[in-house]
Amino acid sequence: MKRLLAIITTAVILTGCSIAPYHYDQNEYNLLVDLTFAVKRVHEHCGSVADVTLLTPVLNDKAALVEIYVDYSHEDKQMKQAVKIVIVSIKQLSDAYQATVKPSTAYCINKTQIIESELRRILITVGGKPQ
Amino acid sequence: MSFNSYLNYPDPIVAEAAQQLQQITNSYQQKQMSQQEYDELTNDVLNFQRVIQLTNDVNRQTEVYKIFQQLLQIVMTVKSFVV
Repeated sequence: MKRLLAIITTAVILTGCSIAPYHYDQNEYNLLVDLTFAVKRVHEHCGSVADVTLLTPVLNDKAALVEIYVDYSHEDKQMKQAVKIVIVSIKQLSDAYQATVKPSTAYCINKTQIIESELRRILITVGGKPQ
Repeated sequence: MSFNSYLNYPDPIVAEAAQQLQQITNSYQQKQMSQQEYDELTNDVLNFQRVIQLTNDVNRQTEVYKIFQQLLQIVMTVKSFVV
């Protein structure tokens, strides 16, 4: 009986390890998907300064939430640093639209594309999808 | 000097950076963005901290770093030609 339990435990651990991505966290993944979606929304509205000015504070709040979650949820320094780089970019975008002189449409399009591609890489890492 | 030779580079970090820089540079040359915006966006793309997060392979980091220096030269050249 003890031997059977040992075999089952070993099998569960081994298969679990091979399926579950490293550091996978459903909450973190959901927050990152939500943030990516918010960036996409801003990207789609780059043609309208008024729309982006309204959307960027929401984006900034979502980014702050992700930053707090990642800061306290695990010890992975690389992930924290990667998220921090994205947060800084989002803050730059948001600050630019809260300033008196509004940024150009080209800036908005390129900035959101850069942020999206960063988030895509982070999502691939967090979600465990092979690159 | 152009980004063309890097657009289909085998390393996706380099290829994607070259594509992004080409798009940013085109916008800048067509005066669709300010110099300050151009500086910020090109800095974002060529931020080497990003590369360090993307791969732990030191050889790959070194190769990408060298190419990023070449891309930076192109970025600076473009900047000097746009008044």
